[in-house]
Amino acid sequence: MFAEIVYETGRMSVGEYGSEDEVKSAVKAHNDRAIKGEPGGPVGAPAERVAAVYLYDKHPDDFNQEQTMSADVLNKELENLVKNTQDKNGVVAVDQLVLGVRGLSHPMTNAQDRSGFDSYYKMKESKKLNLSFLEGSAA
Amino acid sequence: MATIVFQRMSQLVTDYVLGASGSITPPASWTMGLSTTVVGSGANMARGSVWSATVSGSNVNEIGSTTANGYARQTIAKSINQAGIDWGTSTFDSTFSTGGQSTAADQVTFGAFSGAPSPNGANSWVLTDGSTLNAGQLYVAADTAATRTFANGDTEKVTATIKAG
Repeated sequence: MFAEIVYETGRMSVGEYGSEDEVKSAVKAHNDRAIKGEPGGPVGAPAERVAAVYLYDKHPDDFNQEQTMSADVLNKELENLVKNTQDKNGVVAVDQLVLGVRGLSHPMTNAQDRSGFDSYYKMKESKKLNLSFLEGSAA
Repeated sequence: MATIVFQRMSQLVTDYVLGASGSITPPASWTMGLSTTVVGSGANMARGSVWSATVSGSNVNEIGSTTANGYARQTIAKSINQAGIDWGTSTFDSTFSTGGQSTAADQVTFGAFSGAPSPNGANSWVLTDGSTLNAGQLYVAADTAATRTFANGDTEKVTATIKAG
């Protein structure tokens, strides 16, 4: 399974693990280091507290690998993109529109659609971990 | 620091940027991986290298491909200076021989590791695509300052700077 770990700093990582318990063990070990002010890895950068953990059956980067959409959905998306790209005179910069179209198949959400410690990915997680397992035994 | 630009990146310039190719196209997303392979010099990475689990010749070998223990590739968004993990505003270096346009990606984080991945020991970071280990295209790689070996609770942070010259 894969876990998306969102840190309190807003940074994020994805890791592959054998089980949910393995995810919890790794996340708690890192979080405990942050509480104790210890380095987070071999380079010596500070460890960071963990704010959210999302579990996936596959890597969330694998969202729509075929880069396809149904014509109906694409038509609606195009309509929105044209509406959002046009200037006050109703003129659309085609290269800007192209960028928007390419972004439709990107696996990450748009920055303006995220808040707090939301997932960075469009793929729906299979589970969001309750972080109560982080409590205790760090000091 | 040794760096290398692989054939696919050059082909994107000639075929996609110049020729608007419909078959040689950038990936849906960029991903970052860690490799045990040293960039150079000598018999390590080459412009025509490929990802492979086989340690031989100029093959590029990824850490964690036998046992991940928390390792996976990290995604970089195809945007500039949006909140999240993407590319920075590029800057220009006018130096005749070594100049060019460069951009730094936001720092990506690997881990937390749940133990030692196998293989362990990252000697380089690689800009690639897809999430399947030892697969996908190679675009750019650079040596880490020293071999990084990972254990339970470790994370690793990489800030990639790409210079097109």
